[in-house]
Amino acid sequence: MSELRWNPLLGEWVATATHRQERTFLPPADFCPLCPTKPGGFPTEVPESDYDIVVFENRFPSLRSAPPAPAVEGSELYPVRPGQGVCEVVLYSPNHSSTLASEPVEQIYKLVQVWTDRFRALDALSFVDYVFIFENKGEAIGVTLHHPHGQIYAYPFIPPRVLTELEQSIKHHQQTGRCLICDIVNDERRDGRRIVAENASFVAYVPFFARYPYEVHIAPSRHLQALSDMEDKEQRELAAMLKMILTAYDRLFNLSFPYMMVLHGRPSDGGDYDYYHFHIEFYPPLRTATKLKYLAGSETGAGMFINDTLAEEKAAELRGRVQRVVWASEKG
Amino acid sequence: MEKRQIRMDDGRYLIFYTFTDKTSPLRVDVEENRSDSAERQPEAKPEAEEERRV
Repeated sequence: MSELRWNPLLGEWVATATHRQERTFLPPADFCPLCPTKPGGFPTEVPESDYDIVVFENRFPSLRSAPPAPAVEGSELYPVRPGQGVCEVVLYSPNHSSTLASEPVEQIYKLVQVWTDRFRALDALSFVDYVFIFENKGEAIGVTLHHPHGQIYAYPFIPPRVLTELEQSIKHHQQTGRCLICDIVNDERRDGRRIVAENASFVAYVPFFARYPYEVHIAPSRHLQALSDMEDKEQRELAAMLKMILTAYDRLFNLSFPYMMVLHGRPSDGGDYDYYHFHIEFYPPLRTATKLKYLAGSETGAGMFINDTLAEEKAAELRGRVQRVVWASEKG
Repeated sequence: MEKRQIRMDDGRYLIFYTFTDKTSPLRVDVEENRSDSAERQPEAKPEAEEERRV
């Protein structure tokens, strides 16, 4: 059973997808359903091993392109609609024990190209209003499969968090005539203390308003709205920037750093979003090598985050662990 | 970039991406961040901004 149920209290949709309870949970490495099928072995999701990156429809989706009718009847108070959308899995590598951080930057560049290709394809679907690319990494985040992978959700609506960013961005644009994230990036560059890394096309920083101790945002210097607006040079530099940040994360506590990585771009509903600015956000759950930042009463019940650390200090920690990655042709 | 799409038994699509094209240099250099700097300081504010604050 799956459907979208309206929450009138918060004004947002909730997906029910009861079949997801049955999804594979932390299988041993020999039984990973995301590894390529081995000769004579059990059939996995991927029948061949000769690939760089694979994308496929999630076996346990919360949204489907041809969804079943809702299992319950809606009402004026509680509207219900089919869970229409797309849920894709993106395998970063055939290698089970790899991570995005440990992949060479050339592979991350390939991933950026695949993201862009999938964004274009899903962006064109009439029932899709927002394409959301993300990765949950690490058991601390709740991943159920360790094989290196990310996901793409194509929603039939603009999700609430993005909607808030859009509303704040348009308000800022109406008040100042400028892009909010361009202003944030310029302010971070002017201040400097929260910058983690920079290259010719991107800047990474711990935002002034960080909610997680090691939260990092990556924004393009050029004002653009979507992955599909990037030139090849920018795709390469995004790959280099991702490599720098992911490596710095792993070097922080000498462990494979857990995180949520989310890409925020313009919606796909055909609207005009020139005022918005594509960017990537990382939310790592660790506040020390052994302690988690829990989303407890204030964060979950009131929506106010309490960050026990200073963004300026955490940025300095990360900055000290950055290894610069530069495409050879761009070295000055 | 080459794509090859197949259908699985249950009707789901699966796309294999392979990259055989050799575009401009793919060599990368990795350098330790020497300016580490826990001590990165704010840049000097442009005059215009200072004036606005008066």
